[in-house]
Amino acid sequence: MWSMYKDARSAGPIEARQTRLIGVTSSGSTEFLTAFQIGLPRGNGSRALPQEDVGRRFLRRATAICQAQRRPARAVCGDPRDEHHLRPDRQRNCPSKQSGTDLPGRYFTPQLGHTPVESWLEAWRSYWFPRAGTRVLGMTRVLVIGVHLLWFLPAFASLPEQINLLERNQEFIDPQLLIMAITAIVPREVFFTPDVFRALWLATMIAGALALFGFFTRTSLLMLALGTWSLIAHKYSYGDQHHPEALFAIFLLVLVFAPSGQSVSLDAFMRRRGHAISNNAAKEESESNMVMWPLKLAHVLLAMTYFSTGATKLLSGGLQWMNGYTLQSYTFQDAMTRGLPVGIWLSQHYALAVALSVFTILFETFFFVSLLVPRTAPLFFITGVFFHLGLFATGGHPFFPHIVLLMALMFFLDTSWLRYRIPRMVRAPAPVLARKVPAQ
Amino acid sequence: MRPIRDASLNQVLISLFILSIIGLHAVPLVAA
Repeated sequence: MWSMYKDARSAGPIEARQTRLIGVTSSGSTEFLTAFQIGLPRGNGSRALPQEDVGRRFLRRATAICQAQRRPARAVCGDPRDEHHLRPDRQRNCPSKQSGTDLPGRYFTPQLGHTPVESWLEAWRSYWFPRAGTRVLGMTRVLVIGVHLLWFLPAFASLPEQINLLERNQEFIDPQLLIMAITAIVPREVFFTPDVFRALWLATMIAGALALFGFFTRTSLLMLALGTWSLIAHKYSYGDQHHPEALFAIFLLVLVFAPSGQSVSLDAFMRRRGHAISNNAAKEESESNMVMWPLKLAHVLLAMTYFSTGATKLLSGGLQWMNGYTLQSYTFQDAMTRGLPVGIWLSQHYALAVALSVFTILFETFFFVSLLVPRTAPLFFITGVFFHLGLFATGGHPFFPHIVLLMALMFFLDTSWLRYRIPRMVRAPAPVLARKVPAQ
Repeated sequence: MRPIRDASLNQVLISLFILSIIGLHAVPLVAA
């Protein structure tokens, strides 16, 4: 660096300007290189171009020196400067055989280690904590919180419904655990009143809006999760209990403990503009190994939920559950009660009921295969979306939170589609294609 | 091989969180 400085001082006015650039930014090597590379001619920079003037030659040499200093002796996995973990074609040839930098969704395979315990710990870490871009989690947050705020909260935990429950009941019938914890601290007459719930609902919505736009993201997410948990637990404390929101509520809480606001957020925008809310240096990174675990946990919990429902059907009903009559009966009851013509139509078609029963058992029982063979995961996620849409159309079961989770997994668990490029033949401009047409 | 002790405290705590949540879900499943 010092020799470059001396060279620059003995050069002409162009070099002198670049010397000032070195003086300003030499501490931050990224900006340093970027600034220099702007002035470079196109090409690999290994040979001098005929029109190369003194300034450009200086820039080229300086860039080469800096790149040589920055380049590690060999590719090192986990080195944030080395991006091989983002490129599937280079993962197999990873020289140091490190795990922990795998693409999300790879097999849960123990790597070679010194001891079996170390191997399994390393496999655990490579599964849950692979290094990935924080943009993935930011986009997941926007999708999940957006749908929750605009649809789920107003529709499934609406303020009128909450106030109606409060006004028509003097006591809880079957208080949920969270409600019991609240009443242990604050008496029912004080906390569970319409006024308090209006404030709680408003605070939850405001926290949701802040979390959606990513302003004080994790604090807002925590407020949103606590508010949502309280509202849903209250809704199910009067005897009528359902579970579509359970997994989604867990996912909301899980987002709090991950770097959800590090990208695609006002926090990140303000940090880039030099008005960071937090002075934590780790938050400036665009990659983290804490990004993927919320999505992976959602995947595992979904697999356990589906396996539980499939296994329960098989354990309590055996293979008889798939005799067609069972599904016809359940569908008819639900469709008649809720006035669903599609369900009433289905309940009159025996062969279709048998086929859908077999499909339901197969899907629910074998959803866990998507964990073991990640390549099949998108197929299971898409099937799950249509499975829940079908359940809603025929039986009125509103498992929309599961649909949102499945879509979040489909888009963001494996983000290789983000790197997809349209084949060259397709994206070739019209004149190029026109030249390939033989002349008449 | 990167030593295991490199795992940050965050990863250890979140691993415990993951294990506890999976455990809570697995208990009724196994009991059934």
